[in-house]
Amino acid sequence: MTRDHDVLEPLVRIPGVRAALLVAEDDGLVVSEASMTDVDTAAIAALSSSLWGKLRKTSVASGHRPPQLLQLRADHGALLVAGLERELLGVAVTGDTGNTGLVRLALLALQRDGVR
Amino acid sequence: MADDVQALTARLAADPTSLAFLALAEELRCRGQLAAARAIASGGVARHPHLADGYDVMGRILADQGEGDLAFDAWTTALRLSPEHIGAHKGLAYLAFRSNDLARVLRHLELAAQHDPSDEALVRAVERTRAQVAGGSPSAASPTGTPLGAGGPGTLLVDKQGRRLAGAILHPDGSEVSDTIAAQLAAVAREIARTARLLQLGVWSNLEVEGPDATWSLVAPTQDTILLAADQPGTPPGRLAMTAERAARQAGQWLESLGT
Repeated sequence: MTRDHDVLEPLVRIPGVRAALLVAEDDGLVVSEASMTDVDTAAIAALSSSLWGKLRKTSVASGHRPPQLLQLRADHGALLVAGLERELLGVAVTGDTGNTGLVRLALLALQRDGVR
Repeated sequence: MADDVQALTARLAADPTSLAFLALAEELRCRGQLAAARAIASGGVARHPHLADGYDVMGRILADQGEGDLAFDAWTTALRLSPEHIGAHKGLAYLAFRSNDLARVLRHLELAAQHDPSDEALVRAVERTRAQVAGGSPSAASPTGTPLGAGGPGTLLVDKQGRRLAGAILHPDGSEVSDTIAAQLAAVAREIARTARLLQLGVWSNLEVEGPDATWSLVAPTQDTILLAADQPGTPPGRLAMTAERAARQAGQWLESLGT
């Protein structure tokens, strides 16, 4: 278990979180993961990175600095992504009963405190 | 429904002169199968060159394909054949709306409402457009509010082809970037839908983006549109999401009143 993995522990302890990952922003590969269920973390990483990249591009085109955090809400759950240091993304996927407010706070703490 | 398409296709195959082509083309259009819808509508129009409804459905398909000029031709042909054709007036109002020509929007909506005064959504659209014309501001064409980027909340409504339908975004330097952002939002919308589908999250309802310079909320008022609502950084995401959902309802009603 790496130190990168350790920083995911607060995320996966939140009820309803199905997976938490550190993802390389540029290529969408998994750097570290902690999943509570049988989910395809490689797919989560790739899709999160791609969506993040498109939103970053849109944000910059509008004259704004890159985003800090996104939350995608859907019928059966949510995807949360935060930009971290070292060109990493903090990613969490929740089920429909997940507490996205707590996940958001955990990701913002990770953003503030760093992954090491 | 797949059954509808099968049944309509069977009817049309059994009798190529059947008017089932109207419903079949519209059903395919609603499913996003625009090339197939256009082929069916083209065949129907060729067989029934004096049927205004054929040109109306063709106009809707062409508009969805981004062929505004051809859609205009189709709807004006429908009106030549049937000057009281409500669908054609709504279609031309929609094209005018996309061009931000409010006076023309109002003219076509009023004509449509004259022919069907029982259509409450249409009557409301006329009233709303009349008020916007009286307001005299091009940005009043937005069903959802003020231009974005001027320091207050803003909205931008775009279609799935990435074209701006209403609202505006200004770069902090004051330049207009709405069309650029509209084009990018269409790609964002496709990525959101793909992500939700592949991660088995179901149908997405809202995307909130927090940044150091702005907070955004994205929603889909209809299957074919996406709406961006923005506010100052630090705006509670839940509050902005509510604003976006309210704006999306208004935009959905507006688009519905135009028959799109």
